[in-house]
Amino acid sequence: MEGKTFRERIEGRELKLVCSFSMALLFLASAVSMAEEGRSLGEVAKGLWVIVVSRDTLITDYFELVGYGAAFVNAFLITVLVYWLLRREKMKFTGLTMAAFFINIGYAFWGKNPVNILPILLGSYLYAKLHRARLGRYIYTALFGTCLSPLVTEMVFMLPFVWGVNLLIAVATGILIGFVLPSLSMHTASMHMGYNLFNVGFSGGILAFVLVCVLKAFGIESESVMIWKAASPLWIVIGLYASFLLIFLYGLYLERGDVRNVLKIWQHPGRAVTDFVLMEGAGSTLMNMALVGAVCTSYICLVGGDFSGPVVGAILTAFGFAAFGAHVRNYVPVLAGVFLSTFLTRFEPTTPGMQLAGIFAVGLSPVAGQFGPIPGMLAGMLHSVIVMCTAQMYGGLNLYNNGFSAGWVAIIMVPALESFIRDARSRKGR
Amino acid sequence: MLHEERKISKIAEELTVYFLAIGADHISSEIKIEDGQATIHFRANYRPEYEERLEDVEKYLKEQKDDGVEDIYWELAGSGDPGESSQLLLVGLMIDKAEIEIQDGAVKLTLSKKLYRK
Repeated sequence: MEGKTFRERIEGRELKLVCSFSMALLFLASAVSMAEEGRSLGEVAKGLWVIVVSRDTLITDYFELVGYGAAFVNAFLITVLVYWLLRREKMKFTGLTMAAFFINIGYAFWGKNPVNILPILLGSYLYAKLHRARLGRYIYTALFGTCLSPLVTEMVFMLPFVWGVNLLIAVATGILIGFVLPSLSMHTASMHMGYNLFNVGFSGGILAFVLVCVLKAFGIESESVMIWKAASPLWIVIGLYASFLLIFLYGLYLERGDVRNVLKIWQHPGRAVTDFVLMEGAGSTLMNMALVGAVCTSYICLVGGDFSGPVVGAILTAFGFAAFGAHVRNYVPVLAGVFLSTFLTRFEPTTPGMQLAGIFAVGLSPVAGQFGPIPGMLAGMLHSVIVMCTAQMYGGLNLYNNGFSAGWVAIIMVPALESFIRDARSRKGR
Repeated sequence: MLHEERKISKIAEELTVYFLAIGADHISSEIKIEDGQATIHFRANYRPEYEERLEDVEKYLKEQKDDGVEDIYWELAGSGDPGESSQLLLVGLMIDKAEIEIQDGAVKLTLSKKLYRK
């Protein structure tokens, strides 16, 4: 150990440190926001209880529902659980790990809590046991699959039986979801050919649609809600920029001040499985993540959007997926497409769904990366209109609504783009 | 059986697609399955101007196996695009061992993958 530099001492653990740093930041944000709101620990505990027993249907912003303190504590608890699972399963921390980690932090501000995600995780655990495999084999599907956790909560409210029976059926449904998603997700990847980075969002949407149809057949229907914090506290904006700056500087330090590998990242189309950590190293990936996070934050500032729970969550999701396919060069055209669509449609850039569409368009970055900026912009435009319809298909019960929409955009656009653009390119090459 | 045989054929398919994209006009592959392990012997030539792309072959195929990624994305193997190496990385994450020999304008690969049985 002696004589080794800090860089050498943390070799192989660079990303684990980022995850630990994020947990510490969430803890700090919990303390700061509790002080800011003048809330006691007891009040925050009450807030957590409200989160657990509330409907989590899209869009339920925990900042608005229970305040910043309880929302950050909820995110902290989810993060601790996810980190513990990843360590327990001895997962190698790669780009996909970062995506899974940060998407779970992000959605802990609007829909996931440490209780409603448990049945889905248990379902995936049982699936692994049935196949005599360790959970690690399915941990990513399990972690992404918690997007259907509102369905678990919602079942408790929707079913017509006594509370205890409702709860049992809800838990059983969660287990079923965790059980079905691993096999479904592997097939959906080949449907969109890896051009939608939110693969489980797509498979989760399909499953949610099926389950909601079954419930509707019994006369049980779920309604979307709109609980949204229309505010942009300066401390959140500064907190995001400061975190991204620190991550960038940490990445720069790991790369010994060299940014050339970030430019190499920008050369990748970004289609799954483009794991930047494995391909270009942890340091340059962290710089790329920080840049994408900063672009998302700046976009919301520029359009005058809200730093609500969902928006902060979306930014953290994009930040995570910048380790697994997304970078500034392939994301900006898709984001521009979403923004431009607001000049043509009835939506404003500040419409809550449109703010989220802009950030979550990051899932379609590979379209721009592979086919160029114009198709990327078209993908963003198409995504912005499809995403405004899809939530109704499953009563807002799939948290990754944008992932579901992005899947359709990829399925519709990619075959046409492949036949026209690739043909044109090969003719040019001849 | 968790699609193990299909995964093996997908790996061979991806290698074929990759080498066709770098100008191979002579490709051969052989798959042997014994003692719960599949071994893929693959040989292909390439155009000299694409020689630097072989660095990716070496780098990505020797990546440590990751069955978490394998079980979500294995169906994407074989769908690689010309100029894209992410599916080659996927192959690297699906196999246990890779031996790579490059000589006389040709590449000889020996990839091993333990077959997962319930």
